[in-house]
Amino acid sequence: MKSSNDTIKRLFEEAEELGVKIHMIESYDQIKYEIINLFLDHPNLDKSICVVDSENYDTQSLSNYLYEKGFDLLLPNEQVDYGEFIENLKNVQVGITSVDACVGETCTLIIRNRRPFFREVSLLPPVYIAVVRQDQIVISLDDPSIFKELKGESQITIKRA
Amino acid sequence: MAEDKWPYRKKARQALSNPIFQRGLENIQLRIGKATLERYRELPNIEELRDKGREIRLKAVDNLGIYLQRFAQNVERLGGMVFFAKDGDEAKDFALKVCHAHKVKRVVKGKSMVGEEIGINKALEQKGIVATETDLGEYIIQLAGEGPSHIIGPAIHKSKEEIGRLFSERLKAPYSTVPEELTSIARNSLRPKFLEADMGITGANLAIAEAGQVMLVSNEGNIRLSVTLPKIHLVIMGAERIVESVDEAMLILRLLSRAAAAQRLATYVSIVGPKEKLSRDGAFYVIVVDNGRSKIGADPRFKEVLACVRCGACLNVCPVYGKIGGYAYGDVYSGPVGAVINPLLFGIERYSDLFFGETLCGMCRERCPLKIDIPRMLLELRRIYKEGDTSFNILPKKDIGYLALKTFELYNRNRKLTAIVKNISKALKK
Repeated sequence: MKSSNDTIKRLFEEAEELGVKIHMIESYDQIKYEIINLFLDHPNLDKSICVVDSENYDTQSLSNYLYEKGFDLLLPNEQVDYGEFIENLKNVQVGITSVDACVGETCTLIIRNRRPFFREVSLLPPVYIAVVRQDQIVISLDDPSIFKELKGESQITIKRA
Repeated sequence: MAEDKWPYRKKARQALSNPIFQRGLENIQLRIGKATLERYRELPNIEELRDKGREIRLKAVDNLGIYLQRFAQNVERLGGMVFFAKDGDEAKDFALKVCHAHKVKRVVKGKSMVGEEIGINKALEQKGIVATETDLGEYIIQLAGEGPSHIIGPAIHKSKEEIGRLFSERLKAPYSTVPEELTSIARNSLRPKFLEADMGITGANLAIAEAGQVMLVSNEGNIRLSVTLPKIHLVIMGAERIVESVDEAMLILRLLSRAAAAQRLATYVSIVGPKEKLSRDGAFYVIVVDNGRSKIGADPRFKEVLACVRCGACLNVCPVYGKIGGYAYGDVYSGPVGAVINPLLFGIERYSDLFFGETLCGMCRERCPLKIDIPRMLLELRRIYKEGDTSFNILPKKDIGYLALKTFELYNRNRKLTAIVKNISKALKK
């Protein structure tokens, strides 16, 4: 599925109204440069980041790169003690996760909690980066693809950017 | 023994003589009341959506027993627990048992109307459990020791100066009247409470029968934090807040966001169930509170009011609410919908001024996303109050007003009868 130009346009309009920054990138590899630019634009942010494992980017390569650039990294996995994870997350400046869908007409992110930590990482750090593929952008909540997997098996999180 | 009358007139006078409250009411009606209409108009198929939403909710009201049972089965299948409470006392008892079982000492709460209705905070406090409201408006009124004055904006009666003083006194924060600074003070005070809490208590905007999950909607992220960080999640919901499917919940959500806060979509929407809590050795409980709802649902004259999703849209256009504010309606539910719900839940005699106080202008029905016919139910309550009704233990009031009304009705009926006879005679003559 490829999102139409109208959908993308609508997303940009809504994002502008809400003061959300959207960066279009050509490949997943560019995510790391976007992160570096973010910290350059906001020099008051400590160089700490929580990266949640995702199919939308190569977590290993991204975290290696950020580590080399002097970032403090928080990389949660399912074995981590939850309380300890939250303690650490409190002090992190930026959280990054992928999302499952993005709704153009409302600039809304949809996260299915197939894995833990997505919701926490989108809530606690002051800056949140969501990585969404272009084909995951739909025009409205009416799109049936958004909720097809939900029926108690996964929780769903909708966050208007 | 006759119930004490709710002091509607006294509370209304107090609101009318409070310029800060008047400004808050005017502001919310001008800002959100008008903007809601614009948000409705953005959707080309809005009337179709509203009709569909109405159909969904009325279907749910007609099938409450079936949907609630399916919901409970699915919650339990996923590892959670559902408790059906016939009244507030049973609900509070169960909540306290949950607290006891999990050694809960600190609770964070998302805004919950039914929680207010049953007085859950007081019950927790009496057992030494600290319950902190986390919705900004609710937090303000909790610190002030007051109740909500609007379904969506519980602290609209407070000026920023009053909030600044309140925060300064209660939170020992530097005095400020800058909204961003006040929000920041509240956030800094609340953040550690989320992190320390043993349990999160929320309401439910809707429970979804087929999924065994609840949908929670907020704009501040507080409900999501209350649900996410503590190990235990306790949902306290009214028995009527259910739909059959996720698709139905999504349709209602679109209407709810536009009607409640003139938004295309609320900022945070979470659909949650037991699964996540169990994966962290936590627990998920739902208390379904009846407290008179099944009686309303069984009454064809009033069951429509159970379709309400508490968006507050009727408050934002009501000329009466716009002047007298929420406190005149009672402790919890206010505005036109409160003028129907409060008498039905807490006593028709006690709250009779509420349904006589409304103007029947019909704006509430116009703006309700589900087109709930509040004016019809207000009239029905007036009729019951005057003529009596055994199902509500109301005796007829044969005072001068009642006799005048009856005479007028008889006259009207006779006029119609005379006209019908005249028409028939004319037709026969032809």
